[in-house]
Amino acid sequence: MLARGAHHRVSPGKTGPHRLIFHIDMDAFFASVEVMCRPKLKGKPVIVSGKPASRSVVAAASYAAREYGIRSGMSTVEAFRRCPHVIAVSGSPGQYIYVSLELLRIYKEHSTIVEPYSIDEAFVDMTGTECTWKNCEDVAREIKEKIRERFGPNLTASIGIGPNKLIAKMCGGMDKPDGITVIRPGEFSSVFHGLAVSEMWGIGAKTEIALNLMGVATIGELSNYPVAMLRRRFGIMGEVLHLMACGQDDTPVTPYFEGMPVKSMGHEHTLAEDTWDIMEAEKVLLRLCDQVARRMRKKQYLGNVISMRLRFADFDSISRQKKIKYYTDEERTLYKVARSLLHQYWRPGQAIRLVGVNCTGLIKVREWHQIDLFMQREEDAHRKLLSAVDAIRDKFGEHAITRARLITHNTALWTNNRRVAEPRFLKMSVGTNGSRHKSLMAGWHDASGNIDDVPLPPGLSSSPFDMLRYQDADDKVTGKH
Amino acid sequence: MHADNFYGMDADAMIQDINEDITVLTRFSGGHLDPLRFKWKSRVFDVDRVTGKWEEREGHFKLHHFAVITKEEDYYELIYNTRTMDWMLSKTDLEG
Repeated sequence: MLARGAHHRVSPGKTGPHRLIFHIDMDAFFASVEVMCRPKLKGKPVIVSGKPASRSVVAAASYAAREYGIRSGMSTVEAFRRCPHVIAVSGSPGQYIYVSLELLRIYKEHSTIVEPYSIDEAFVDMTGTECTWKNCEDVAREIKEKIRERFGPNLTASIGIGPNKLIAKMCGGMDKPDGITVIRPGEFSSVFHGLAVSEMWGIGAKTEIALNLMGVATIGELSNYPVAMLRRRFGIMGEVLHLMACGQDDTPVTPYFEGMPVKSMGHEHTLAEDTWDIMEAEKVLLRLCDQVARRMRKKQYLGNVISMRLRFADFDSISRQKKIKYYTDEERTLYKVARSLLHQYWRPGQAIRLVGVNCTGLIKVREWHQIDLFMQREEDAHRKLLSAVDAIRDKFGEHAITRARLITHNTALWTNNRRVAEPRFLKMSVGTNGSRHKSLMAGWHDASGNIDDVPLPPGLSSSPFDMLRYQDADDKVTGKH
Repeated sequence: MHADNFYGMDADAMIQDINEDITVLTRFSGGHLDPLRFKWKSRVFDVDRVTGKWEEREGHFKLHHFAVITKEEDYYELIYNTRTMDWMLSKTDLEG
């Protein structure tokens, strides 16, 4: 019934007054999905995280775990300290993504304007549908019932309903879990003005301190604070803060199919253990560059600003970037720049905790083709190698092939929980003179990644090699070939 | 202090990775597939209910995951690979 109403709208994602926005937030999402699959976990303190011995953090905590003070973002070790009998589940990201997409499907039955805000949160613009302020609570209940029918009683949602995204988001957190909260137009000040500024969506610890130093403690006080002074202190954001404190937000709900323009693509990785070894950091950097470049090629983006991020053991972070003269989507270029930044800004004697790489200045490939008329692009053997690698990954998955020098841990191959490729290696080499060489190899490698005829570890006979690997002229491979 | 030593347990200690090929009696119907019964280590397990279903892509192919509870109220995770058309027992819960 309501889905039909959804098609009555003239233009999606309207701004302005008279809007009706739902914010749907799944309660303890990851933990709830685990309980959904293993009902015996219901009512028990459950966290989704890595191993307690590792430096992982809690990705989600069930409500029973929260009673012990366990929160998302807390280290797993700390979670175990607070509740020694907590059940730590390693989690299944693929499952969470799948459930999240199924949830979006349910929301789309009510409105075509659905914006996934995160994996477990979404905004739904009900303006112009058959959902009105009179029946909005019934519609919210209907959505919750559909979720229950589809996923059972262990997966619940809290729904906030307001005249804009800000209010919907803020009231969505007021009655968790499994609640419905409605703030109608004109009700914002009576509900929120007495609350601390930190309760307002988008105000972080630093802004809160700055506001407190200005004598602003509550949302109501912020709404009455002179805008000119806010602007002087926070720039353009000062005005935004004032509007937010007044409950005003004109941001449209952006349907997921329209997407947001991509401004950057990056990856970062926290090392299992801090390292003083720059070669180790280089390897991580290369893998991250490979992942970023692969994503860029898949999404057809090119970029020309490459940044490298390091976090040291004392949590001090640095981020340095360099603009290059041309646009690229190749990992060797990303790596060359990122590696030079790493060597430039690495602090010998200080252990590295995290390595990251990011590419900005993005344009779509077709835009580059315009520029290409004037700047002849080099189509070299490496490009063909990348095409082959992409084709293999497209067909067999992201883990089907990797650079030879990135395989440094034997366990990574044989503890892989499924076969992703045939038990053999494809070695693709590009010589310094541009000549290409392909061969199939069967063998093992030693701990430093050198290809060799090392005997298989015991018990491996039934486990096939799971990866294809390749190398090119940039790889420093020193084993037998 | 090391968490493993202190608490004597690892993450998700109840879950054991199995990763063994198994035979599954499957119903293919209406574009869906459902595991009904499977054989592992010469024992036959009847699926009582499927508590979770999800898919992952491996290139062109799909891996269909099923979280199932058997008649004995034990938890298992099964994976059907569309490339190899094989079933695999991925995990089980040691405590059921």
